[in-house]
Amino acid sequence: MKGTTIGEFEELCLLSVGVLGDDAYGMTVKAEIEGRTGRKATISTIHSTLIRLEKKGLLESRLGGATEQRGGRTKRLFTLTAVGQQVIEEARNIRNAMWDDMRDRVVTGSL
Amino acid sequence: MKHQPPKWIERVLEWYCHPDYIDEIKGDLYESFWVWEHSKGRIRAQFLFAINTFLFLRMYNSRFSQITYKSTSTTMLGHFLKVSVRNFKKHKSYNLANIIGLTAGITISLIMSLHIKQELSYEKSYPKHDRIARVAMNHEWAKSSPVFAEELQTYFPELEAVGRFARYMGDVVILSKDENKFISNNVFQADQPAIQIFDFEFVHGNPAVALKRPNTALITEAVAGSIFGNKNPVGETINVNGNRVSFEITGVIRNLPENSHLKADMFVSMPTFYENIPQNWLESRSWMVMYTYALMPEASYLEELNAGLGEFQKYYLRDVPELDLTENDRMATMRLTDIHLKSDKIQEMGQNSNIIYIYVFGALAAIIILIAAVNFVNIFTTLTLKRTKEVGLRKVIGANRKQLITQLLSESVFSTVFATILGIGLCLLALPFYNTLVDLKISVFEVLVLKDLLLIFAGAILLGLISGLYPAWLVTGESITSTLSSGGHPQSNISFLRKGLIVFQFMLSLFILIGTVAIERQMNFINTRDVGYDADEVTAIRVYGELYGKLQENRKGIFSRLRSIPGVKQVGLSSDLIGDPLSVEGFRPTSATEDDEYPSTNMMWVDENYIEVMGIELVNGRNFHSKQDTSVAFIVNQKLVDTWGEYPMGKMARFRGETGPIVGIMEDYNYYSLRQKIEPMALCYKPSWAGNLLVKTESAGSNQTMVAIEEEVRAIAPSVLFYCNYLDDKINGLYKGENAMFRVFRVFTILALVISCVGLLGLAAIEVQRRTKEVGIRKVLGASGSQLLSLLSRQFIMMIALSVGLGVPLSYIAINEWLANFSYQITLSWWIFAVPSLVLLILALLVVAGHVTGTVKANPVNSLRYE
Repeated sequence: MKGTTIGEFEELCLLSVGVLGDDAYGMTVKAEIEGRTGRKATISTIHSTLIRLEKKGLLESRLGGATEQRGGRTKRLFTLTAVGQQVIEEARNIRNAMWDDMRDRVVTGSL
Repeated sequence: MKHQPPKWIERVLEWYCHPDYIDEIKGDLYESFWVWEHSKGRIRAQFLFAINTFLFLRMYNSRFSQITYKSTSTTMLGHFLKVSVRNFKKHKSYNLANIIGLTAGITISLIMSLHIKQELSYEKSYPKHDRIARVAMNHEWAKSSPVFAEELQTYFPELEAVGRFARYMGDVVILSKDENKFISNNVFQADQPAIQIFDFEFVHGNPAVALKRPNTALITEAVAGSIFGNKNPVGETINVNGNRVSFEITGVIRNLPENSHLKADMFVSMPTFYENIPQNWLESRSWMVMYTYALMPEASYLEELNAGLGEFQKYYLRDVPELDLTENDRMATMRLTDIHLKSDKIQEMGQNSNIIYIYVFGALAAIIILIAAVNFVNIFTTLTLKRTKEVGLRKVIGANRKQLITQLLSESVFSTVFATILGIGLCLLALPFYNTLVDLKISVFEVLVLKDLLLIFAGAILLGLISGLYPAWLVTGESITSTLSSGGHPQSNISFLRKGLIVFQFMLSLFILIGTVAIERQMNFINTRDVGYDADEVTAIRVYGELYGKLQENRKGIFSRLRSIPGVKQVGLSSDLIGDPLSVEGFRPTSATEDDEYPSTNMMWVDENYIEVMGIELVNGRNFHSKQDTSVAFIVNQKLVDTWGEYPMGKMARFRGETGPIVGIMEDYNYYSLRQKIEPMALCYKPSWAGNLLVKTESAGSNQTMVAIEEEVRAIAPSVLFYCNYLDDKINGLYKGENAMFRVFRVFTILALVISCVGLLGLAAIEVQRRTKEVGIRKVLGASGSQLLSLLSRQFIMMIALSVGLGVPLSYIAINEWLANFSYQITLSWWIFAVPSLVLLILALLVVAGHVTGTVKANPVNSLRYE
């Protein structure tokens, strides 16, 4: 089903939005990802990913929060939707399950 | 206040971005800019701002993106396409004929346009082409004297340079080095400014001094390649016509462009010319030998130059008392870019083309595309009219008129664009054949540029719109009830417009048909006309080097050796061949005083056998005789006798300081081409000046004889590189332009006729189908086959008759214009017009009748049950 599979970068964006809570928009998401992973991402890449995730129904957005640095322009603030929340949880569960299986194998010595 | 990011970049974003996103994106960018400005400084911040803005130009936020906004009209396009494909299948043959006709028309006119474009591109590859003009000493000649250029430059100091070319030796020059040779028809002597004017591109050598020393020469890459291979030949020597003359090579230039009147393989330095010509000739103010080109400061300077020429001429001829100049004697300029198409003067560098071909080809292209377009409009209209029911039904469902028109227009545009794509493809395929047909080297990729392609497609779309508009208007304008209730055809007769189009189409077809017949007649006339000589089976062998020496020593002996070869009839010598520009000189009786006027005379130097070899007839007097004519002697033509006004037989005449008797009078034979009138001409007996050995054989091109001749010449002069050509081939070359035009006409006339007939066929077919019921009823009531036939074909025959009535006078005018170019013309007899008209009439009759008979013969039961 469309929207349920996400890529790694998309996952990072979703997680960042989750972490940032009420202040998740392009610039902060960019800072979050760059700060946590050390990777560089351009603002346009972040923006297009966020919009894409919104179209997939994983994020929702509202406009607001103009500041002086922005030349008085609004931000698009993102929050996770229920589906978005579910998708990242699912992603984590799949990984956890896989980690568990791998650990079991190490313990039983079959690796 | 903090710095602002560059505004124009923002504007790009504003233009591109969808309004839903623009605000936040700009916000993010401004915020980034603020961050960068603080961390990296203003300059880098602006740079990063620009880059990041451009990175935002993506599909997802574009306002041009169709993904988010899909309008109904674009949805319908898909549907229209489907319906038009179905319709195409329903009337496959008509539609196919329609597309094929249009494709053929587009292909043909595209090829012709390429041809025209090629012709118009002449000289354009010289960077300063628009500022170069050729200056000649009068209106009739292309040439000027050696001192002319210098005087011109002094008188008009504004001219940036004045350069000259003079043909080196006669017709054919053989360049060689050791074993390698290159045969050139074009060797010129050129002076240093010529390099500056024409910007010859140097591969080797120094352009600044290349032509300054005597006995040096510039060669083109073609010559360098075939004689010296890959190595740099600068400093080497090259032999000319054997090893009597050799030049040091000072440079190699790129081959001259194909599309230029200046065709040269080698430029010998002008000081060489000055070393070889006697001083009094060099100082002559009337010796026509140089082609003089001036580089003007700007293109518009030509007017000033022209205005000043009158005064300059007075200054130039200051030593001539009582200057009395006719209009033709005045100096004349010719833009470099005009030479190829507009210059037809005495002793051009080579045979130029003629602007008339551009007009004729342009007209032909226009006519053919017009015929094809008319065809398309006609058939498309007819087919659309058959679809009134579909239109009616669409209206019932709720389509408005605008939508219906859009549908029909999109169909016609789709067809024309499709035909255009096919046409371009076909043009690419057909061009190699066309190139062989006209003996040209047109390359699509050189001539056709993106702009032309856009223009072609714009034309196609326009044609589609125009041809679709009328039927669409007609059909969609009907009320719903009338479209659905009546038999389906809003008009019972073929409309006036479509009749007019058919008449127009056939008028044009007839026009080019008659044109072709007339051109064929004229060309035949030229090819078979009695030219006063018989050059069949005459081969010309270049005389130079060792062969020349041997001929000087023992002409008689060599002649008898050659004559003993089986198949050889006679051997002679001449300085020029048919079609070569002859030297024009002063020739007058010794009894004349200085003040007496005598016309300039074309001179040729020959031996005692020339008259016999060429089959020229003597009217009076005798042929040259090697025993009797110990000094020079002359045979003159009739024209000279007429212009002299006195009978020259037996008189003594002077020429170039030598005197000799006029021993004979010959028929006017056409020593050049039939385009030129015959002028006063004299043959001068002086075998030592003749550079061509003419061999008359029994049958043309008998290989055995030719091989034997070549072996014999090699045996006589082993060091000579044998070069010969058939005089016939050379003479045919004189009419190359006309012959090519004629071939093009012949092929394209047939195609135009076919396209027209396809149109007529389509229309007749639909008309007949429409009246099937009527025919059935008439038949039941007792009408005979022939009555029905005449009933159905009458209006078509009327239309064709009308086009004949219009087409004949039109073609009469045009052909008369064309024939005016020739000195010797055919007379236009009535049948030139009558036969093509009749052919057209019969053809049209066959097309219509062929279609009608089927309907007439059919059982009326079937036709009445129709539908």
